Amino acid sequence: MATFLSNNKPLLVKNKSQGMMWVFAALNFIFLCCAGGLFFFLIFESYPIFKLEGFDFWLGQDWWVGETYGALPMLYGSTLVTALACLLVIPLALAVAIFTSEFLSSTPRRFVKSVLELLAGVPGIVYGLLGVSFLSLWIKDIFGLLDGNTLATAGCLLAIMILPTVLTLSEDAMHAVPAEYRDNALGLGLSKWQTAIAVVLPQALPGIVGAVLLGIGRAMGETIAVMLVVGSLDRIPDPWFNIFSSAQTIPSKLGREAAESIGEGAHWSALMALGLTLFLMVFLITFVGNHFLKRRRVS
Amino acid sequence: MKSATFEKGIVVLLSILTLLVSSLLLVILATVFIKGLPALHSGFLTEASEDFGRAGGIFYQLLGTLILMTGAVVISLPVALGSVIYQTQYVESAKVKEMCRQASQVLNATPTILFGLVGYLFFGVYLETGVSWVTGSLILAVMILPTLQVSIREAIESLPEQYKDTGMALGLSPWSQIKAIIIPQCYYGIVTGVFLGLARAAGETAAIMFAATTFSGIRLPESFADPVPTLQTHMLVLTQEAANPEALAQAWGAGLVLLSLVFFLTLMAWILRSRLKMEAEL
Amino acid sequence: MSPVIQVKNLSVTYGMIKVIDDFSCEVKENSVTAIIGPSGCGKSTLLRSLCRMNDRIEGFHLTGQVLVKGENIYHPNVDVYDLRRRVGMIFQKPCIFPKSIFDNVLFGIRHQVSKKDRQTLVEHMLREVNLWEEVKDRLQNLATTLSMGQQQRLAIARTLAVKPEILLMDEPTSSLDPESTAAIESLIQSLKSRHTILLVTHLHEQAEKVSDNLIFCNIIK
Repeated sequence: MATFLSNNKPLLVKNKSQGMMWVFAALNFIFLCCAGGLFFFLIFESYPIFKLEGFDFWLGQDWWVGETYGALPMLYGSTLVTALACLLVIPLALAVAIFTSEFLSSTPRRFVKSVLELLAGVPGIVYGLLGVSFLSLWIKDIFGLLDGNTLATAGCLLAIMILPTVLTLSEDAMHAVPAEYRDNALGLGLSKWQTAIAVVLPQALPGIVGAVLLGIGRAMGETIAVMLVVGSLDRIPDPWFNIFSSAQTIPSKLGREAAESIGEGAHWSALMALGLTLFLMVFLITFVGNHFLKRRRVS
Repeated sequence: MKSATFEKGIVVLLSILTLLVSSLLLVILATVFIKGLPALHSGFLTEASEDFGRAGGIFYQLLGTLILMTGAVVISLPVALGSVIYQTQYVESAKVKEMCRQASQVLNATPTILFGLVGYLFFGVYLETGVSWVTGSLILAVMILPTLQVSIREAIESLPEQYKDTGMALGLSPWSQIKAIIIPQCYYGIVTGVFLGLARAAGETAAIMFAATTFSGIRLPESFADPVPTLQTHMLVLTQEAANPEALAQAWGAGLVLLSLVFFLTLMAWILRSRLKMEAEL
Repeated sequence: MSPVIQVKNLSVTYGMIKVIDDFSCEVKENSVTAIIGPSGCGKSTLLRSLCRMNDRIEGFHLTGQVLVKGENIYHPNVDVYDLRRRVGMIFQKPCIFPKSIFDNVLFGIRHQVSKKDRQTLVEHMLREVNLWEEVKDRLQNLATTLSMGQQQRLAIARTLAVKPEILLMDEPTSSLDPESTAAIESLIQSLKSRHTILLVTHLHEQAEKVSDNLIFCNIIK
């Protein structure tokens, strides 16, 4: 009777199936390289400017090509615009999420989720066009400004853009709270609203925090729409809280200037350093956000 | 009782807000439609643009967008499919699987402008593909990897565990199982991912702005080294001429076409996704 | 006549949990051996260890020897896929693919059989499991339209098509009605002449009726 032992086959590639494994492993390796390679490239390319300016890169307020590169206005702009978007989005997202998760039956709920998914897919340039044609003009007229392209405009536009993401993830977090919690509360005589606020919301809190963080990450990274409505002025507003002045965010800066100096030089290195800063910020926020999303079932 | 009416009031408020948010989509669609319709004269989709885009059609721009997104999916699909198959069929350690999933999330959350910058540097400069549609497709391919991976992974993970046991019990090697079970059964999931990837690539501007596109000059790319005009960048340039009503009108027209394209692809993906659910329930 | 299967001092742990402790046995060729015991005593684990189906489970650790036809199946040089073809396994719930009956039978050996031989092979296998008369007119129908009892026989036909010498059956009739159960029991008797069969069951009457030998298992305290 023939034996089971494969006598004469080479050890490494036992049979064809092993060969295919290397193909798949290689494809996976390519994928991993893409994920990690971006980061390393950014570090490598931004090294020159850090050698030149060190920490002053982040603290400097002036960005003059050929002389000095200070990123503070961009950092400030990004932060402010994102904060504004959050302020507008969080209450609205929570309100609609509570209603959708706790008060809607499954068909209307699915409808809302579908609408949100479509909204999330609207291209950034379309939002940009809407912002330029409507939002900028409205803000200019309502607040009597010279130029409608301000931090406030960008903040509002971003709020609309990240609303679908924050909303749908928060709603998921609430909907995932097990039915027993609701049943117990309702059985004790609480109303739907009271159950939602006192029982579901606290349970869903990690997921909601995660949703907001992911929304922030998305807001920080948005380029096109912001670029068109933020005003593209490299300065910190005076006073600092004047959201109705033109300013600059990191992506909008990159979008505006990258085409000019691709390849080499201090300017390019400075832009890459901006990119690295952006990457680290978004990475950190998204990492923490995903961590919260995973901790949804806190008992 | 006071608190009862208070609650009722709150619920009414919430329902109004929900209605408002839901109608947001309709508002956006309607706006784009209304503003874009005037520009849609009969030759809009088939003519070339004139007068720096302020007149004429968007034929070559539409073609450019289609070329970039198709190229992106063609390049991305093997890598996405191969990497997910490797992670689900050949990797045993849960830690490695988790690390790969995190890598996917990092890629997904990365601001797209960075793809454009680093992608141009890597592909365009170092690999010398220049400012071309090839560079653009490569950059977009990397960008949509996570999108494809999510759909594929979902399809593979929803396969009944017994399928794998049965395949193993019959003495099928991993590759035979992939050929005979995984790929045929996950077909709809893969195609869903493809459509979602196409939709995402179609709408992306920042990643291809300076790496793949041209505003005037080139019409149809004649080689691998030519840039292409795209709907997205066309809109970008026109939008920045906000003072000029003709330019804006053209931008709206292009926007209508672009939005329709993205929604069409997304709806196709949804139809396929529901087919996937139907098959899984058999 | 040397035994077809020999198990010597087998111990199996999953992580920290010991499931099988110092188990030994011998199985003769062309016999039916039933393994019975309370649930959780490791019957399925034992069966799966005989065809190396536990390899992929995290924390799985095995000591002792499992010899099939005198060869240690856990030797690193062993072609695991060939082993699993020769030691076939039938599960409690038949897992039928959403394909035609014809394609299901051929599933394990599709590429090794030429197109003209396929029809004969399918008929031969279906006859062996006493399913031919019931399905010969609808071979192209979806296999999922069959009853559970028919599906289980189809699963056995599918396994037989890869020509195993040993058949491992993990509670093959637990999901079936009495009529199908009887059909499978008589099938086991008829397969005995060409195969060696190990059967895990929790039905004592079935074990007594069908098998030549019994192995009793107990839960490790």
